[in-house]
Amino acid sequence: MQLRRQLPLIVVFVTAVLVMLFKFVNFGETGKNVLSQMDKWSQVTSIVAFLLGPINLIRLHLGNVTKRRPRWVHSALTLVVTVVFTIVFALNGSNGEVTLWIINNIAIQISGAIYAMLGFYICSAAYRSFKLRNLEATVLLLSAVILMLAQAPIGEEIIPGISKWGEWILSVPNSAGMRGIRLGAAIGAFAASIRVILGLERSWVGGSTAE
Amino acid sequence: MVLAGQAPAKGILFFAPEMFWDFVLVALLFILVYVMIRRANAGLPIPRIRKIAGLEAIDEAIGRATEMGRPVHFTPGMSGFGPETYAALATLSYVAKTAAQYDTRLIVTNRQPTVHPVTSEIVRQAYLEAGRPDAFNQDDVRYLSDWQFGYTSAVLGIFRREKPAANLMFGYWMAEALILGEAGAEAGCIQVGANTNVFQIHFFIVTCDYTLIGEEQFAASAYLSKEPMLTGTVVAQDMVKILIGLLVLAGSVWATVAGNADKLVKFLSQ
Repeated sequence: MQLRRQLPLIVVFVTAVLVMLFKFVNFGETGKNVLSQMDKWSQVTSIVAFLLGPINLIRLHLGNVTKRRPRWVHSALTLVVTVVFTIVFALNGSNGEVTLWIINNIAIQISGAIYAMLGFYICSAAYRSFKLRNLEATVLLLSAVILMLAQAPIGEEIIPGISKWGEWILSVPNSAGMRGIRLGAAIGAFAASIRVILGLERSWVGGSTAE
Repeated sequence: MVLAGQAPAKGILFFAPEMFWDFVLVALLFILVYVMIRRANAGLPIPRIRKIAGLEAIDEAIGRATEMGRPVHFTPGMSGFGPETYAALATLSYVAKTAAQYDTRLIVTNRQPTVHPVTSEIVRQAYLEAGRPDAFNQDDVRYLSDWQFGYTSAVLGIFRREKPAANLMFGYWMAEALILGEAGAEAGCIQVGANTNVFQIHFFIVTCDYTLIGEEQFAASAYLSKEPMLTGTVVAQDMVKILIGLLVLAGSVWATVAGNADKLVKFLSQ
């Protein structure tokens, strides 16, 4: 049990040290080859782990169907689609005519429909967030009104020069905020990686932090 | 150590010149983390982390779900293993332990098949540590789909059918951020969202009750565990941020006085 938790920590530490060594020290072509080889190992291990997700999916829905849980018909449909598509994919290949037909005419269309829901959700989210509740919400509302008018041709007709205000909001306060968040997130990600490499952060192996 | 211009084309054991500033940053952060760990081990005081409302709200969200007798939904985000996902997994560990202690049902949904077994193990371990291994339900830690909107529609279905009282969205989010946030709000969930994607954070801000912006998410493990050693690493990260902030300020002053800061940019770009 102890080894089961320690082994991933050791693998992460050794891999990270090797990657940093080959990145920071100029080993010429040898270094590039080693990094490329490590990248391939990473892809191979990911493919093995990739199977675990679909296995869970099938196990869960098979249980729903066999135990006749509520809405088991949905689970049966999921299983049928999974099995049919797996067979088509295996027989027809990833670029086969039938595979591409299913992807282009079913999967992408459904994805597009879900994505299109964004239009409705933007309206309902805007309605709630643009209420004049406090100072922050007021600033948000004013910025949104200026930006919307700045982007629409009629805005310049109603308030001459508003496009410049919109441009200023985007390029000064908006850019400053975005850069600040990016900078903080990048350094935060960096520090989080160091915690993982040093084994201080070990919740991902199913343990408490800094044991 | 050989710097730019001096490095031989086919050398070995010479510093890769294009990585100089990256190396300085990594080394600085490692040194600061080491110093903070030493301070923590010696029992010396470590600066406190400011109050992060989004992380404080996790207990409130689980408590609300417990009172209502409804489940908590947790997701570690859309990306594979990366800093955001590790931060989300640290939060999941805390959420799972709290849910196990309160005897509240926890539903974890995954988009990445590689992350799924890890979340499953974290939740199982949390129930074990809470002394309730029998309460762990394997079927509540689910892999849904690695297709972005396939995953999104499956989560929308869970919101409709299983009506969670709390929705905790950590990790990295893209175009589905608004769809999930708004659907969670419509379902009446108390929501905590975390994201580092600057193009999507605002969607969480308008739809979630609490939002962790950018780096706040990375402080989760230290904040929730209150472990001095981890807090030290957050302090080290803030020190580097202050240093970079000072550099930005110096560049701004330089550019204002001299008309441009080309020399500084060139120096840092070498």
